[in-house]
Amino acid sequence: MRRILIIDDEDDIREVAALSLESMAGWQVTTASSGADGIRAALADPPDAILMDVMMPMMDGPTTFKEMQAMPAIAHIPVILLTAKVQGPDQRRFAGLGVTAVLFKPFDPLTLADQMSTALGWKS
Amino acid sequence: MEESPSSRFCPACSAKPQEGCRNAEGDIIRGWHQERHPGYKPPASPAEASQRLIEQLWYRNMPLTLSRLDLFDAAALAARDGTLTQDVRDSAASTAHKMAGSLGMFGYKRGTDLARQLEQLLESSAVPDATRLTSLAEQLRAELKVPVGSAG
Repeated sequence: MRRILIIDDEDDIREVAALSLESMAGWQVTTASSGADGIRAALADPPDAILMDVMMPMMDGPTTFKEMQAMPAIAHIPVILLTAKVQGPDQRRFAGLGVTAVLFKPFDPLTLADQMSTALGWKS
Repeated sequence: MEESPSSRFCPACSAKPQEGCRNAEGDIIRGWHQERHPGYKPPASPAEASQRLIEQLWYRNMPLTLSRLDLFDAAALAARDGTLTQDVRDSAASTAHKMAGSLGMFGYKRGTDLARQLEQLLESSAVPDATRLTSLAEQLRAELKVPVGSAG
């Protein structure tokens, strides 16, 4: 069973994304509400992939990703960023970070798992 | 506690495990008791199960939605009065960004578009057009079918 860690400061985003991935794909989901908590969760129990919001207070998604990349225990975990910013410059900035993919909010709860599977190469 | 199909919510009333479910009268029934909910029918598919829970989440988050709409109304009023501070503007822009990113997943695609327009208006370097700000706030409230003053 695939294990996903969702990192987002918004309660409703975490809840809907978790419900979506659990219901539609049967994945096991854990959540964190900040970049710092997300790093702690990933270190404690490394997931198969991380879905992470870009805009978060204190430590945003790109910063959190860079911190994770500096930690050998979790640097290998693929990260998908989730953003509501749809302008071109923002997309280019995120793509240049080295994350696996960037998905856009609002996501469709019925297809989020499919989109992630495709991005992660999990589809057979 | 009984085993639940979802580790987070009762599919019938969206209660979390520590809250307990509520019956039709609003009284708490401890534990997972979906079979006690009047008229409850199990979902026919994972998609239907997911949709039901998401709809319940929408109503559960309604107080937050109402407070966000009130913030836009307050920002629009301040803009009309010429008293819109940078703090209120930044807060409203941030809130609009959050709503732009979430309304669509609850099925409010036009809501996402309206919130995005609000975000862009509030983030622009120019002083926000008060008429446009008011119009967008009103359109968003109408789109979400929330009357003015619902928050009480």
